Amino acid sequence: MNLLLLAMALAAPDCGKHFAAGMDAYQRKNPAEALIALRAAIQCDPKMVQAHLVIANLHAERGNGAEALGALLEVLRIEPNNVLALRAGSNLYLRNGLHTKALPLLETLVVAAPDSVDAHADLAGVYAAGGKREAAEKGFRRALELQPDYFPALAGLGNLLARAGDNDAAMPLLRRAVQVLPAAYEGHFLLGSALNRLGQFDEARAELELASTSSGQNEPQVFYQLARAFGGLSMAPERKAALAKFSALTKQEKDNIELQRKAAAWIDEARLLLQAGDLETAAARLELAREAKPNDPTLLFRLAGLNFDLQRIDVAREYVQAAISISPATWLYHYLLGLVEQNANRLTDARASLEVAAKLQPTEAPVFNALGQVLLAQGERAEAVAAFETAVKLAPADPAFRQNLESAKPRR
Amino acid sequence: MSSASPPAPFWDATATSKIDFVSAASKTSAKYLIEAMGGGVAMMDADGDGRLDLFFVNGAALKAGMTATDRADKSDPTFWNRLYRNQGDGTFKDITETAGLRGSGYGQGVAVGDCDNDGRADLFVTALGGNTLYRNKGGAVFEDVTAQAGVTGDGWSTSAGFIDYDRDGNLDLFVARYLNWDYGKNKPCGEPQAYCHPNEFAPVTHLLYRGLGGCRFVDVSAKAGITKSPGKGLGVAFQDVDHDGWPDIFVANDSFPQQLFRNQRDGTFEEIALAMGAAYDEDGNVFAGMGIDVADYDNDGVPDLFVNALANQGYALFRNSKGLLQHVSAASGVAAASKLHSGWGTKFFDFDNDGWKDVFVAQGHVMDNIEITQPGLRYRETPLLLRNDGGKFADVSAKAGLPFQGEMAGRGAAFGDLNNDGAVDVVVSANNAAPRVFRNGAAENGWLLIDTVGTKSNRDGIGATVRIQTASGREQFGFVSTAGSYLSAHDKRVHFGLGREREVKLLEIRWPSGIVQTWKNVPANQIFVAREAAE
Repeated sequence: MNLLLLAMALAAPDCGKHFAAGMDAYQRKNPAEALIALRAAIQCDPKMVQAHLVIANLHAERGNGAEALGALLEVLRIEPNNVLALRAGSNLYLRNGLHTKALPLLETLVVAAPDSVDAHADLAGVYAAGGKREAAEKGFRRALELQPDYFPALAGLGNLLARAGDNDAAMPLLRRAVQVLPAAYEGHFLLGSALNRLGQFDEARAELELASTSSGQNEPQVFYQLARAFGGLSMAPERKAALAKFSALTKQEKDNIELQRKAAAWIDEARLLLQAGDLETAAARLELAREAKPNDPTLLFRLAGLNFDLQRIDVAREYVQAAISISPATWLYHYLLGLVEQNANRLTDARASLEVAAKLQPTEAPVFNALGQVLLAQGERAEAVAAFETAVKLAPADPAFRQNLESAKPRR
Repeated sequence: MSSASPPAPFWDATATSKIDFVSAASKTSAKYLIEAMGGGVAMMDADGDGRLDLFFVNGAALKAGMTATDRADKSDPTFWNRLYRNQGDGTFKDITETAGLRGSGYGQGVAVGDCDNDGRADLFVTALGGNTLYRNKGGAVFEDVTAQAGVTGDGWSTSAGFIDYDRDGNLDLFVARYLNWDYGKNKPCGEPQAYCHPNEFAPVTHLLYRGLGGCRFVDVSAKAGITKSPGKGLGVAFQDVDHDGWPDIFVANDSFPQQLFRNQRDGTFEEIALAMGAAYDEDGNVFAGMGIDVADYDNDGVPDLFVNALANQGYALFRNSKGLLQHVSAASGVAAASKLHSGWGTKFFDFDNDGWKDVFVAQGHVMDNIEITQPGLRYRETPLLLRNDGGKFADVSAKAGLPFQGEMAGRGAAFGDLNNDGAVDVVVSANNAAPRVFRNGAAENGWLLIDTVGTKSNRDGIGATVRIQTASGREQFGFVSTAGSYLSAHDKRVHFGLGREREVKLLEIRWPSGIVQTWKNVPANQIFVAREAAE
């Protein structure tokens, strides 16, 4: 991918060793190893923009938007005009509907990359959503100057002008958008909506039927517009059917939102149950929440921890591994997996997980203490002592670590 | 065709009116949602002297950490509701204490109607946790008859209105309710704490009380089918949308589909907003419906619907055509004029008496820190005046007079002719601030103010439809109601602007009793008392 090739090319020679190792692990699809190496590269050279970019990419690929954004913002702190970070960051914000946050990135991006057609169109879209009609129009027009058949700009400008009542200018743009990308439902939908507004219900119906039978088949708004067209054509049964479909799709969307809301409530309830010591019921509540949020690493981690406390070792392993697959750079998850494996007496796996945790978070004494225990159980006394020594160094006041260290030292 | 008269000058008569009311929201660090809602205002003739008096609904003392059963304390005079008597010289006098209208609980809305048909305006005040009905004993003295009347209700009531839905001559009462919320259900929303979005709370059912006469009511919400359709109601308006002679009920819902309860003429209602096209905006999205009005803005004989919304949504104008309510905000100019505004109290009214109903909107964002989170928006906004030019609307606020330059966190708005000069005045309540009185001097064009007096129908004539025809052949249509806007109640008299015409050739009133009465050649520029014929 372009981003990675560019990043490799730009790697600083001094710290390139870590970066190259990170890229190698990344290409071998070993995200945890890649992150450790890339973090080492950043430790070596905190301003190594390319390492931050690859980390952002790693997180984004796993749907971990918040961490990806964190890495991109770090790039922008170092290089405020970094085009890759501006583009990727604004995309992440836009995908989550955070237009206000995307705005400054896009405004910088169009200056840094004035010939970037998508940047102009995205910025115009943000302006349009915020009611800044003139600025939006200017942005869309600039995008069309750069690429006359750029679909998002044709559709965006056409929609903007149609909503403002400038139908003479809007309709050719919307018709062109449909020609440029006939498979995209958005073009048919916007054209159909504009035709509805003009009272041209026959043609609107045709466009909206195309939208409703293509990729717009699950979009409630398509069926709402279709119902409007049927209403204009006095086709009562068809209108009723389109509204029924609209209602069903809207309900589906609403149910999903409601499920997320319930999940949040279940998590809150589980927290209270945990405080009261009722682990069984807390775990049951978190299970319910997981059905609504199957890819929430924090939730998976909590479930793993709870099941570990309940000595359901296999279940705990499954959850923490799922959490790690989504967020491989979180040391706590590796630490928990290490403890789980240690408990199951799978010492090799436990050691591997704890070593990853120690690399990701070299300042956590409990990680080194657990690692020492595993190494000792494996008969690696010297290494165990070294791990206990690190734990004691990090937390000198903890008597348990000190005691472990003393016990591990060879007797005279 | 519209006359070319310039927008009439409104002037700010707040100071000269001597109204010293200041709404007290009692804002807390808990950011209880109710703090953001403001209170209603009513224009009503409380003492029967022919002049409109003013009633303001107020908040109550809140504190962080309140529980579900807590009732906000209204004992401090800062939090009293207030009644001001119109002294006829442009000034008003506070007569709250003698009127017995201090109120209780955290007040919200007000409805006005003569529930015992004795010719005096009675008052219904909504609040969080329980509502109050005040019977007017005469001379602007009121008694609390809530318990006997059976209209306490519970939960969070907002706008309410009197209606005679069964046309039996006794006023009925509809009460919109907002959310399944109380102080104990307040939750963390944002960092720092902000007012929660209504999506955080479940919808609730509205209330319908059937009037039995003598200001006694029975709750028929379930029997009438109202409870089948919960909502998040903030505004209420009534009109006969399908022209069948039976009044229908519109509810503006916040971030929830708008509702239209069609009167099925048998004591029950069916919610048909989606089927009629009025539940969503033109894209099929829900919007934050707050203020509402229903009137025939394009003079085609059927009532249209206006619902305002939150900034970035645009206000919704639905034109009644071919039996459907078509969203025409873009084509009518309403969308462009309202895109960045947040609307509350509102009404179709002919401010310049040119024969076309214009639109006023009291504005202001709900979030008092909106300038920080969305720098392009404002918490306090200037009001919006949209002039109707043959069915298209233009924003004429900038030319409408000084009061339109002043920003406020506008909430309730009541409309009526305070000095009986034929020009409709506006009083706007503000959240946690003083209200404003917008006096209108546009009496150059002709006008007619129709005061309906029912005999067989309810005494106010509420629910009567009014049609006028002038010599030019132009027709206009009105509907007798004090409901609409946001939390507020209007002058019950029906106002028509007549442009240059000096007489109404035909005045027709269809009373709720079914009686149809006509008058011919009614001169302009008068308050015409239309008394219902015996049969």
